[in-house]
Amino acid sequence: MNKIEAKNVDVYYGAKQALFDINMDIEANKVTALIGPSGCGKSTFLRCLNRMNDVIDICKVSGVVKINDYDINQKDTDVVRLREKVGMIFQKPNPFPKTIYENISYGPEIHGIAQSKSEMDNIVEESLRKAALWEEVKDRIHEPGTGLSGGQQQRLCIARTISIKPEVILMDEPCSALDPIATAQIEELIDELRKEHTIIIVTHSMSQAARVSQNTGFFHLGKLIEVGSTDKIFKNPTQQQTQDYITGRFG
Amino acid sequence: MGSLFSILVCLSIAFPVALLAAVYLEEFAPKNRFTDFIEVNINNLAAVPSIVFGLLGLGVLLAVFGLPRSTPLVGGITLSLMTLPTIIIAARASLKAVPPSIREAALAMGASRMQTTMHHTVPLALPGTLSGTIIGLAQALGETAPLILIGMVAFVNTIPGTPMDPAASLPVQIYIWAESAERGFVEKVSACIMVLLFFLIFMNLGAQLIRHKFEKKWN
Ligand SMILES: Nc1ncnc2c1ncn2[C@@H]1O[C@H](COP(=O)(O)OP(=O)(O)O)[C@@H](O)[C@H]1O
Ligand SMILES: [Mg+2]
Repeated sequence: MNKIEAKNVDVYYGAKQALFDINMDIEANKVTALIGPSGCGKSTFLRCLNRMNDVIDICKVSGVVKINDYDINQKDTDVVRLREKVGMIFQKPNPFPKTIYENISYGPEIHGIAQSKSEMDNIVEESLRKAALWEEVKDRIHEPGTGLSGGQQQRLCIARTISIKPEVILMDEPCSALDPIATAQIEELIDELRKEHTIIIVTHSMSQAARVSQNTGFFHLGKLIEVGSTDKIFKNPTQQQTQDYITGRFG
Repeated sequence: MGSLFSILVCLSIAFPVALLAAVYLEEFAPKNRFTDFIEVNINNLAAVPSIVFGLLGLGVLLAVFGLPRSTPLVGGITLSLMTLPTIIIAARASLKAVPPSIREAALAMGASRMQTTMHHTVPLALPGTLSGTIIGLAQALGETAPLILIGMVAFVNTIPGTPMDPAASLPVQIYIWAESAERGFVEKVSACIMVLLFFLIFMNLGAQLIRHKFEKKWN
């Protein structure tokens, strides 16, 4: 079943067109990787899926993006509800300069998810466990989240995102600021998370795309060149450009 | 006491107004000609000589609204007009220093723009704004010119009970006493200056402390 369907999506930054007529379906409970040379519009496309491009004044998005068959680009779409359903992890870990506990309790708090203190405690613990961080921080959840290592901070951000149980999680190069061990931990986590969430991950590492994803889309100069199962894209692509990119001939 | 009341009035007017103005300009206002125009004017206002504000106080507050002369209330309002641009500039600078990644984090969690601003951006910008405010106030505390104009000049030797009573303020006191030729006033002027200096040093120290204590290191 398709969780997300993008149809004829164009994006402009001012007069400059960043995405050209993107059509892409994204399957539920799978990891979809977006690859391509930098500046090709991967992040831009990702940000179309939770309307984060709204924040950029000069950015104009047109086309249809359906999530659960509902077009999120309508005028009266409630972006707060949308972002509650579609969480996002950024390239650089960005925990709030607050305690670990407060980082995670923030989402449930503003969305009124927890009814009591003990319920909140449970959500915090469960989220940290799912993000494979609980064992490392359980003795210091009231210390600042910014005091953690880079990899831990990124898992904290993942815990923060899953605390409100989004259906979709967008990840924009979540490992590019991390060392190989932290990267391996996050990759393992992604595979675990896909049971409950649909995941779309932007990565510039083709080996990472091959390791974590079931489907892959290849972008080049603002166009979606090819999309299909990761196996097929890496072993037997139909487009010459895809072939060139994955064999490292450009990009 | 005259100075103290003036400063309190000044603080309670200038700080909230300036903070709201800065938050609006920095977080909500669209970037267009009109906001550019306001921005230029705020910067200009910060450079206007204080005596002009004194005249404004005289003209508007005393003449138009008929508030009582030489009271800390009027003095404070005049001084707050004077410090307003300074505080707005400080507040905007601190709001700008809050990294966009924090705003993005909050927005991506489904916080509305208002929640993002109130829960994250403003608290993080507050220390910087506060130290800017104190510096603005310290400047106001030492101002003489606008106060002379609104009549905080009378030698009032009773301690005012409320901001509505007439009172003298430190810098004006110094100004008047230094003018008087009689010998006895030399010591009084010196004492007054010491008190004023002490207050100013104290306030600037406070500003520095706040800055150091709360300054966030962004990595
Ligand atoms: N905030 C922005 N303002 C103007 N242009 C932008 C902005 N963000 C991205 N772009 C442009 O859009 C294109 C796609 O960028 P992006 O989606 O970040 O690429 P990728 O994530 O694939 O590296 C680039 O040419 C970039 O210069
Ligand atoms: Mg990118």
